[in-house]
Amino acid sequence: MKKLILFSICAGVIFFSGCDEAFNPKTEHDEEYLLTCLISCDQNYQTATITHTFDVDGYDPSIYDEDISIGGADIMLWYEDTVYVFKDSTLNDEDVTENNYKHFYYLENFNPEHNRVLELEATMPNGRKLHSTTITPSLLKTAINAWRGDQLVPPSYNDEIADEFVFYVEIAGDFLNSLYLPRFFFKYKKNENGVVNHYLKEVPLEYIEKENEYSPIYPTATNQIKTRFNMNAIDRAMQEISEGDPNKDNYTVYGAFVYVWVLDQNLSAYYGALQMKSDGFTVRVDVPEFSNVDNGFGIFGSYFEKLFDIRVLAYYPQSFGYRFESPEN
Amino acid sequence: MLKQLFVLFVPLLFISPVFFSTAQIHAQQTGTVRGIVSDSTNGEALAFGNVYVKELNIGATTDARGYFLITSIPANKEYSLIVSYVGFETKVIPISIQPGKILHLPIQLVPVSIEMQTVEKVADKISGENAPDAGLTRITVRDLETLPKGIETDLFRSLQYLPGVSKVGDISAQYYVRGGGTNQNLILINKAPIYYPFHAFGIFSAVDPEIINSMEFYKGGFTAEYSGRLSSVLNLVTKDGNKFNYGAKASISLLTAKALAEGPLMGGSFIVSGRTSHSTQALKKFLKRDAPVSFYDFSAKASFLSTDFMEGAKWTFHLFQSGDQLSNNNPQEADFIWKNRVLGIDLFQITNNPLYYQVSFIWSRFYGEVLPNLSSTTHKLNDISDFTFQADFNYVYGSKDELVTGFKIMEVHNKLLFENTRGQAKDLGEKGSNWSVYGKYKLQRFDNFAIDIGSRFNLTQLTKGSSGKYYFEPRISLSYKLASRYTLKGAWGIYHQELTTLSDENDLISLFEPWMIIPKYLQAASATHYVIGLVGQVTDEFNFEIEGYYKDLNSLPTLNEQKFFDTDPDLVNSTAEAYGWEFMVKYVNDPISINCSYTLSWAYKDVNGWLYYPKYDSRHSGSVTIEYNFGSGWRASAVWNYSSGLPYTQIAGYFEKMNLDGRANELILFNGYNPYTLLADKNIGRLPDYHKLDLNLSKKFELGSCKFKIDMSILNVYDRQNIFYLERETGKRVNMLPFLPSITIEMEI
Repeated sequence: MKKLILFSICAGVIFFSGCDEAFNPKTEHDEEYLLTCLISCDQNYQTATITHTFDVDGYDPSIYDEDISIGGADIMLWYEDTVYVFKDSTLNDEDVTENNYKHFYYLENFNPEHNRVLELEATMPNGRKLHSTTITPSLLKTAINAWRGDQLVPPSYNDEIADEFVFYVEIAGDFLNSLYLPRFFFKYKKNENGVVNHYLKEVPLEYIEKENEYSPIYPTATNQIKTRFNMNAIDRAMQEISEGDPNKDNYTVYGAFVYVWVLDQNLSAYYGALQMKSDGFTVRVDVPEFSNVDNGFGIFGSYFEKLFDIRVLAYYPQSFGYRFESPEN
Repeated sequence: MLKQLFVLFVPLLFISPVFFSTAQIHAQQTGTVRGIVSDSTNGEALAFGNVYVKELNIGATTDARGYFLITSIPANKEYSLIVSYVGFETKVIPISIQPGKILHLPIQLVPVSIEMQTVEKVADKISGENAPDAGLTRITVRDLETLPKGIETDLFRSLQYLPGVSKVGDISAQYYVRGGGTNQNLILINKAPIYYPFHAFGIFSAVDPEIINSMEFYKGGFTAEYSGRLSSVLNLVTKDGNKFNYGAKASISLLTAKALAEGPLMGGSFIVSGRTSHSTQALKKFLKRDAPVSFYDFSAKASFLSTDFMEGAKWTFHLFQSGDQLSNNNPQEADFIWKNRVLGIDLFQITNNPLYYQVSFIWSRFYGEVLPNLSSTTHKLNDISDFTFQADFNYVYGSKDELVTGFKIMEVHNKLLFENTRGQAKDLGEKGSNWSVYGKYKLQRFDNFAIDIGSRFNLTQLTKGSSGKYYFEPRISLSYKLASRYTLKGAWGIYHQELTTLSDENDLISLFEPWMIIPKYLQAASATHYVIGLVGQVTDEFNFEIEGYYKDLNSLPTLNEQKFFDTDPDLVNSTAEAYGWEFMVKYVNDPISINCSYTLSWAYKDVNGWLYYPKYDSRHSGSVTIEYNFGSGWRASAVWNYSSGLPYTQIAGYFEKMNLDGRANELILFNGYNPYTLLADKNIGRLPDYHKLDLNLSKKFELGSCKFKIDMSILNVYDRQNIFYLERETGKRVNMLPFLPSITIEMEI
């Protein structure tokens, strides 16, 4: 019996060790269509794209080099009592491309008000209709306020330099499902061989230092009323403007501002789905996609942008060896 | 509802006196023998042993406390009481039964010495026993010891060998029973629920098998004394400790170091055990990456036999604690904390009549926290505590029938702080109480037929969505002996569950699965079980079990995958259905033991009208276990495991999605397009079949006063490349455990 068991185990090992089946994790590709249209409430020029899904041999989709945009569709947008028709770039501006797509659609002289319903319908050349609606975002009521300090760089509180710059907004209307993304920039110019070039330096919320390397952590869209920029990060960003360049005098800081993108609910949900990141140990096999397009998928959303100037005190950039120029000049 | 209450309980009230009076008359001509069977070397209760009266061929199985009771023995006669337990010398005790009296016997069995020891096989039911226990498997730690170990013996991994229990990979010790989710498994330690009994993200069980005396595992159809979960019950009873001598034990494996101390204490005994991780190298094999996890678990129990205060009373104080910490030491990565703490006091009382009862006070707490640091993960905290007071009364009639009744008062406090991806925090925690009573009658007077019929009645609900609804949970378990060696078994029952976890079905390994009371916009989850089976003992060496089941689950709270807005609910209702057949064949003929099992099963889940196979649905699964005892302390085993491919979502192509990541130093938000994977219908594909062979060889020996055990295991002997998942971005295949040898050394003083 002992020998029989031993023989069975050995035979099993030999039999199964040669056993390895091929595995193809792919299924047949059925073409689907994506509609992407973001409406800006601040611009007059709006675009939309329709693309199709594709497949490649293997798992690297970047090797696909054919154009996936679809031309010849009719795209109509309903706003209040008016219907707007997108123009097809294929028919009108053949040399123009949008994000490397050969075909896109555009609408001129259209910028909607806040809190308005927009309805979009795209009829594809094959007769298929993609449909979506969205509501333009609410306004930020008071753009910027003091919160434990003034809105200066460097921020101060009770006559002392504060340890963080707080961007603080008041929100009007139903903002529950909407996000806004605040980003903080310094404006500076550099004299490069007699030519003055203008640049922006973005300030992160924080820097992570690891083995003398600094990694910036930039803000993500939020609906919290406060966004805190660490004072050390502001110092570090200011320092990075001229990092490695001993001629600090070539740099002139002439202002700062916070730029805000306010996203509507659909665009916020789309943004939120993009931000879903794993903790590194969690093994997640499927990630849900956000789509608000019927009969296909994609995103139809809207947003507006707003700029808030921040006053920079002259001594602050000067303490880094830079020149300072008041934005009023 | 009151009408239903009336219909169920009033007949019981009427029937009981009838049985009582019958019992009284009957008792005048008969007597009873009862006792506790224990190990002579340490006084530890021997659970699920066999006790029978030779002349009458009637008997009983000891319960988890080693307690047995045999009634209706014709009085004024001498009998031989035979007490047997595999691995111990059988004892024959002459007894004399007096009319209307209870003979109480403390029985100690002597273990067979290492040299003489043959295959230890426990938890076998008495030959021809007719117990209504469909869906029940009884396991002792001795059973676990013979199984090959990943790194060390693991309670929950051992369950994965049973038919009807599935897993999603070697990596996790979490288990799925008959198509139910992991959060539908009730895990009790000395009657106290443990909310997250795992170490290292679910890779290992947090309960050290060294402290366990017995395990009862219900895969379905569990009777009225159990409540709170839909799918299964794992009832763990810890050891009491050595009642006669002080002793200590220490062992070390590639992962942990542990120590145990035990001894007599004030007429009773105590046991203290602790385990801590000492290296994360072994975890690398499981996770394929460094995992800076440290963990510990600690267990203590003290038992006292009270003679002065309450005669026949046994008081038990028990504590269980476990903790895990994942410290990445990198501000860009999140840190995690998990803790369990269970505290309990039990009173077990045997009275002067055939009544015994147990009263328990239990506090169980789970604490989990995600500390995001500066990572993109958000802060989360779960702190759930439940306080339970419960009592169970068991009266055994002269006819062998039993009346079992009890109540349970459970108060749950939960804090669940959650931040969404937008940084908004909210507390999903709630408080609630569940008051329930149950009653059941075990009709066991007939030789060929037995039935366990009863119901739970929930007076108050944890789930606010179910408040004001008083629901019944009627349950029936029955057995019918077709022939002397073949018994037909069946069970039916309705079950409710009011606590759930926020578990993402898309996670194969999840670090944070918080518990919560089912929110008020949903109902308590419910299930109906149907079980039918046939148990047969073809010869003394060969037995089999066939069991079929159907499980219908409703109002299952499922994580809302389409929650994109804060106003969307976190959970949505779903339904599920599972059915299948399980076959088990066992051949035991010293020194060899062969166990073969096969399961044919189907599981479906329906969320928002979308029907799919859950990730643990395997059509065919089975295992073959061979154990061989060479004698002189040498023992070997081989286990071959197979399951047909698990479901997964196939790649249907690619699409380009607009980025909103912005670009540093530029006023740009919409940052081009990136390719993403287009998924096919959820879980419509199947992974390749899973199979592997594991081997184990162990040797027990003594050196002076020390006992040693060396245990060597090899997992995945032929290095089968069992796929765990596929990285969609790269097409890289991530496999489960490779060829993995391990060794454990144990020393006992």
